[in-house]
Amino acid sequence: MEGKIVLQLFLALSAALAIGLGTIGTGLAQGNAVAKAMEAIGRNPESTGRLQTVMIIGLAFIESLAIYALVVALILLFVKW
Amino acid sequence: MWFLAAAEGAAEGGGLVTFTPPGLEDWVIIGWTWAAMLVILVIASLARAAWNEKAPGGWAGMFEHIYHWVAGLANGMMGPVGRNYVPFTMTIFLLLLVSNWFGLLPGFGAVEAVPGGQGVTVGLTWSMAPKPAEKKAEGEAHGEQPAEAAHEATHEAEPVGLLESPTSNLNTTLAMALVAFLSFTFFGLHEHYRSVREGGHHSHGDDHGHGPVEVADTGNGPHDVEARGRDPISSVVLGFVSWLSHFVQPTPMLWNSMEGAMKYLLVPPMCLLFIGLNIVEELARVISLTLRLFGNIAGEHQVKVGLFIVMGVFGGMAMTGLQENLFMAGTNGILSVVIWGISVFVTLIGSLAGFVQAMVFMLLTMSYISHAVALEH
Repeated sequence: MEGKIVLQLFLALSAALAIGLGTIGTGLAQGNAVAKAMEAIGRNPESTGRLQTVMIIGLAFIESLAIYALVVALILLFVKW
Repeated sequence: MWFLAAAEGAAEGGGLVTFTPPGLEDWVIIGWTWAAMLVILVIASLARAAWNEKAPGGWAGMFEHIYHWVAGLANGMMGPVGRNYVPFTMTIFLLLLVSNWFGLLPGFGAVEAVPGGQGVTVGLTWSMAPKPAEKKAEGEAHGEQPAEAAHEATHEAEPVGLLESPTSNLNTTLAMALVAFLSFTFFGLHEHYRSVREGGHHSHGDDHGHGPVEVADTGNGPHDVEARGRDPISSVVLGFVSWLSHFVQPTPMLWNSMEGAMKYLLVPPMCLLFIGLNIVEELARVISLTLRLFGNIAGEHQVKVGLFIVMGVFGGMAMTGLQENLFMAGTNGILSVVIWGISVFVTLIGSLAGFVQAMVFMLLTMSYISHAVALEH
């Protein structure tokens, strides 16, 4: 019974840690990507449409890494261990 | 039947991926997917009815706007050939958009019913509330645990979500990702078959659509072998082999760019490496499409439901405390209204997120199709 409590403790802790650490790199990378895209739009405003599309695709790829971390956190929380 | 026995064994042992036969919750998801399809059908019928040569009505204008936007994206990504793939990708986009936006309507994700029980509970998905069998439950966030005793007693004590957005369930998103995977595989196979059948006479820059197989106009009449193209059966086989060769793809460029005896030593192992890499990448596309859509939409809806629950908790405390302590009741009431305001904001942000996720799924599918269809001659 005590082992169950320790397990719950570690599950909650590791779920929080998983999603917290996972979004650090994602935030930095997405900020970088958007900054470069805005700079490119500033240099060449008439290519805004194409740049916007490519930026959205790039952001989706980076975002999916944070989503993997979120899925691990959801697994830790919602599966009957 | 062995797979049913395996399913029972897996369900007994617990674990993440269990193959249980479709229960009530899966039929609920399927029902809501059909509801999304019905919504799209109704809007499309309205658009069709409003279409007029001279003055198209409002619904037709809106639908045309969406079509031109999607066609513009396809044109930008694939050139004129993209026009062939617009119906498929636009269907994916519309279905995912409506499914994502279903979850923002009031009550989605928060209404549950116990099959065989009486009535419907609202807002108790997050099981900080005690289960009916265990009133003395320790208040842990993982509420399935106290219901284990109830499980052995009555097997149908588990509540089933009634209003669920389809894409907040892993099954729907996995199905859409598998459809996208099959689509870019088969479009790639068809393109390789087509190019082998026509014998490579056409440059793809001026493709404006795939009619029947176009063969070269060599001017020698209808019985010229070159004009007829290769026969279908051998071009199916050769087309399949040509499609397989795209798995080693960066290697020919390496081979051409290196001179001397070193290239015989370095390039064959890299050939094997690139075969493995490309196959894993194609499988990882399925997983990433699934998890990206599921994580974004399910997370968004959990936030909305959670805020709804917290607002209700504060409102309940405010209303029950009105007799005793007016100051605390007033504070709780103000907090409840503030959280209601936040939840409106979060719902609006969620509508943007649902749109962006549907658009990203469509863009990625288009990008994968364009990679599969682009042949380097």
